[in-house]
Amino acid sequence: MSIAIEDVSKHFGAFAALDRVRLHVASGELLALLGPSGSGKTTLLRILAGLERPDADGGRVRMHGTDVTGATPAERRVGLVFQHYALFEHLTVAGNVAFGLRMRRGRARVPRREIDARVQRLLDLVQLSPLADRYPSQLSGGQRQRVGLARALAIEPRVLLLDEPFGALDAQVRRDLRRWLKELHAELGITSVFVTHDQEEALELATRVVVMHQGRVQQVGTPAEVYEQPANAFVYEFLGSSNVIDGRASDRVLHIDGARYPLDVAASGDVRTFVRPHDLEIVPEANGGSTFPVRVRDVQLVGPTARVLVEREVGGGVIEAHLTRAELAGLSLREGLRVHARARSFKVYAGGIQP
Amino acid sequence: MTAARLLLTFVGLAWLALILLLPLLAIFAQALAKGWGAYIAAVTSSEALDAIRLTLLSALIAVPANLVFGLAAAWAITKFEFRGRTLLLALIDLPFSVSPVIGGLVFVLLYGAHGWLGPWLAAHDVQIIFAKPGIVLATIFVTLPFVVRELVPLMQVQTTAREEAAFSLGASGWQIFRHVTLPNVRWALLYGLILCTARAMGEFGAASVVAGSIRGRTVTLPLHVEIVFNEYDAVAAFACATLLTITALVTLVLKTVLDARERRTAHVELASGQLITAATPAGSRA
Repeated sequence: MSIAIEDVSKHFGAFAALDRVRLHVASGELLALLGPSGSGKTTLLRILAGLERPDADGGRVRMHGTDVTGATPAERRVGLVFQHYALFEHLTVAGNVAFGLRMRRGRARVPRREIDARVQRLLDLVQLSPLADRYPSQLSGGQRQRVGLARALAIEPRVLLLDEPFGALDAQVRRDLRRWLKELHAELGITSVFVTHDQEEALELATRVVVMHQGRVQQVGTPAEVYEQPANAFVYEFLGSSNVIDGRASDRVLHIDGARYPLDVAASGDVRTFVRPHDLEIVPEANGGSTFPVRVRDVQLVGPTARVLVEREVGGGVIEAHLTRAELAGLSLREGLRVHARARSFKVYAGGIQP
Repeated sequence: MTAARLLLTFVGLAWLALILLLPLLAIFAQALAKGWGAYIAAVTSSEALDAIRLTLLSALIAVPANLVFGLAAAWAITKFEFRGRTLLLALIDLPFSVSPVIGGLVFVLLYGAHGWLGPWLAAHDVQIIFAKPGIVLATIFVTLPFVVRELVPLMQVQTTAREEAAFSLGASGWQIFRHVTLPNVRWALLYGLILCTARAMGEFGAASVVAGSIRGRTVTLPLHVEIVFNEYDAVAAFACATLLTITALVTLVLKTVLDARERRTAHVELASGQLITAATPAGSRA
């Protein structure tokens, strides 16, 4: 089921939660809506679900070519999964999964036997058959979210919408459930959209990532595309830790504290240069005009990585370099030592969005 | 330490015995002072039976009325945003803060023969004051806050996520209410109804103002107790008082049972992470 979001805007009072968002979700995709809180990602998901409406003149939502802007969630046939599960506490696991089918009346009524059979199949799918008669309060967080997923799948939705589905779980369960959801999506092939503020989750799970900020789509692309080719400063900073180094550009050359780096495009004036900590190299001696002097402030060992905080001697300000333990061993760094830094790769955004 | 604890316990128990237990015993002792025969006769006299019937009738009308109004008001206050929401919540508390006698007087002022609506009512041959409708109205007035007050805090903690889930699964408005909202508040609702019933049966102040104490017509059980007592028939007065006392004791037991149940449900809610939901209101909507 493909989804087209056409210039959708949504205001809450004077606050613009969504500002003319355009987006196309291909059939069978697992799309991540990624952004900080307040970026509009949950509002967009709720508009996709039919729980919110766009502004009166605020665009359309189409599913498989049909305009569904005014349709209810049930008419759209979307399955919803909630951050805090939203399970029916007074019903058993099986009762929760059966809920959508039991509510069908009149001609849509589903016979008892068929409901039972379908619930059984879904519980097998989410590996919860042995817990069918338990109540939600007797389950762990991961199990509850699997009940939530089975409940949403029971109505055979055309689209699955998940709002921070792993948000309430602890790290280990989160990782397991993420992997499991990816396999399940591959198996069912149902068009799915999930909201997350966790870039690692988006990059690991999604076929495509939509990065949102201030109610607008900043970039859409595969995880590799958005990580390696961030469209603007906001996307760069949001998708991983980064150093911001101010420099000067003139005639396709970037100057940082005396070091010179070639630029692909002509630029001039003060620019902000973005360097990932693992792209910042520390060397003992000045080397060929591409290094700039720094002083070691602190060295922290975190697992396999050494985080080295250094202060720029010329421009000032502390920046962070991530070294392997082997690299660190070859340098014998200590606080106050004068060394040199070099950016292996960097990005310069002219007039980029201020984070 | 031990001495202090013993002393405190003794003072506590002695106080309770003096203030609560002794009067309670006195009621039953007085009621049975002339033996079982007099007791039975007192509670089955035609005046007593009329009073019991009227008390039950007003409770039977007031409690369902409060059930419907309480659910509707709590639903509106907690699930929707609208102007005057806080005002409505404050107004619902009015019967708690106003003396029941004042409440009764307001009804006399409105519906009495010389009241605002009195002439119109008289013209249409409707009598409210010094008649059963007045007593029912007064009872509804004083019991108004009980159900709403029990439901609102609970429904405020529960976000609308469950209702939204049910909606997305195709449930109709009525189905959502019947299968999701109602089961989630059933214990609080029952608790509110029990308190409401107890209050409805024991109501004296407002009822005495609007009733006019016409024997056999507008005398509720508490009013009957007062009338009989004023006629120096202590045995009959206390015999009828035991009926009200027993109602109160039954309420107390039910309330205790439900309290324990509610605490268990609350514990379950906590375990299920519902409280986390409660702690992240509108701000969590990205």
